[in-house]
Amino acid sequence: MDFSTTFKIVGTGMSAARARLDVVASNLANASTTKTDEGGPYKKKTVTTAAEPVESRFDSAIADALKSVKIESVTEDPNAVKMAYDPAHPDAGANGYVALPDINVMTEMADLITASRSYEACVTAFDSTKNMALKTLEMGR
Amino acid sequence: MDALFDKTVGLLSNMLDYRNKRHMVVVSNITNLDTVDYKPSEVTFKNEFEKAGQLALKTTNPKHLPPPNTDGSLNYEVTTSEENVKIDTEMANLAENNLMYNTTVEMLARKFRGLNTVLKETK
Repeated sequence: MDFSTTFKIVGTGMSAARARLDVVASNLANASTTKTDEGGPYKKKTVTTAAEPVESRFDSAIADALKSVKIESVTEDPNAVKMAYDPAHPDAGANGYVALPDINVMTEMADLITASRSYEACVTAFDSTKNMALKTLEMGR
Repeated sequence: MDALFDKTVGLLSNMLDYRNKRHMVVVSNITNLDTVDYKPSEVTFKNEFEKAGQLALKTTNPKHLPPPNTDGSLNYEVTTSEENVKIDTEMANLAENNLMYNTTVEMLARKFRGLNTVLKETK
């Protein structure tokens, strides 16, 4: 009976989903940010995750099948810049074009919903694990 | 002691163990829903149904061969699918496994309650 490993696995899934949500929120919030500390407009960011084996002290047969999620990296797309003609903009160049982040709000919203749904799936899995653990305690009553 | 605990309790606790392992693998699949290149695994037991069926064998005649040893120990198989994670299948597996786990716990609890009643009422 090793519920703590299960909780740990679901926990990594939830934090990965949260990281996705955070990055989507950042992308949406900065959809028209023209200035950043690094210079230039805001660049669209993407989270990449990878499966990581769980160290389990038990059964080696299923240990290979158990994988938690780790956030591998947050990558920036350096080419996600679009030029828009707006001579009145303070950041516009000499030719009247301003560099804006190339962020598609529709794609970001779709990513947002996907991340939110995977978070929900993890919550359901967590809940189910919790119910099983509680049910086990009920056995002695 | 063996007659009291071995068959039912042994089998049911093995069942609990199996359900717990299956739960862990299903949870791992759900967690890796968005992981690129992750292939879902599944835990199955093949031989256990046959083994469980053999429990019904009785040696009513001394000339009968004894039934094979039914210690109820589990040998499960972990298989990895070639397809990606299907969230609906995994959620269904999660719910089914959860239900079966609860049923198994309930059966164990009832067994213990029954034993308790016997111990109390014969005083």
